[in-house]
Amino acid sequence: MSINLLNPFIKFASAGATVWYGNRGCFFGGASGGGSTLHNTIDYVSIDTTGNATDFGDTLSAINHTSSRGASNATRGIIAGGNTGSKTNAMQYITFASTGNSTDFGDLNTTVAGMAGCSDATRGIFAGGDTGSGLSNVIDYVTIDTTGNATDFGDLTVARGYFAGFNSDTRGVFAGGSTGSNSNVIDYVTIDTAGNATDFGDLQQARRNTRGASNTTRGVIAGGCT
Amino acid sequence: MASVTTIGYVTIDTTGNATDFGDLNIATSGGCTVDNNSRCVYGGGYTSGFTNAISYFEIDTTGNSSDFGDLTVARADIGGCSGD
Repeated sequence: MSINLLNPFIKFASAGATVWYGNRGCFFGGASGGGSTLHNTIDYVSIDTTGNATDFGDTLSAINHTSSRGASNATRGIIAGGNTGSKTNAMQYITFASTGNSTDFGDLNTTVAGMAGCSDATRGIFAGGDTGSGLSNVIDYVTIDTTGNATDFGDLTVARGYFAGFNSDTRGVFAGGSTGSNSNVIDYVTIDTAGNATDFGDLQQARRNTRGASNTTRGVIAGGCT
Repeated sequence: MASVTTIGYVTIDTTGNATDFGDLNIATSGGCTVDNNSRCVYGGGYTSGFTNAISYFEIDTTGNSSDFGDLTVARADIGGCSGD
């Protein structure tokens, strides 16, 4: 592993794959007012400073429970699925450097909310979620630089939604969630190889609505409810 | 539903159970995390109500989160990603 001295947010793996860690963090949609008021807000922060968020633009429509973590490379960020009053299979993207509204990317294979996402700089993966008629184990993937519909990747070890995703430059990891009850499951995939997820280990406590973040070696799983 | 402050961590390229990292400064669920290669920023979510609070911590250390600032709108069940 080596660090790009021109931009410390890119790390190059020995095999040549990259994962992008940008400095603009964007927050998409959400709900308030007892959960019934949906928002189309996209706001952003500069991660390496502190301060209040700034308006970026709007999502395609007011939405909550998009993928808890999106997929991104240096220029583009994608979020998938969600609830707009009903579940949606829409994926939407933004260009980080240009504030503005999100744009349609394509469709997931499943109409679903509460997915988890992860990515390397090439491929974005969206997993699981709540279809409204049950919890899903489906994993889809997209090529971040190319708009279009998602392709089947494989299955999670346990169908679940409302959980965390994060990644290194080779591995995508999914943690916690709801299986109908709270889950402590952690499972993982190899991002550039389609296939089913493999058991990784357990969270300290079973919880849902938890969130993930990572650098190239460590993944963190924060908050949630029990 | 009880929101928690728990932060755990794993070493991604191995397998194993999560280890205690520290605590969010407010028990929160359904917020959103964004990261660069060193810092995790956690924004919004549900505490005892919908919050606009943003906190952060350094991924390579362990410890509790610190105040970062506020989202433009208090809300939960947010998605997020980061780039440049």
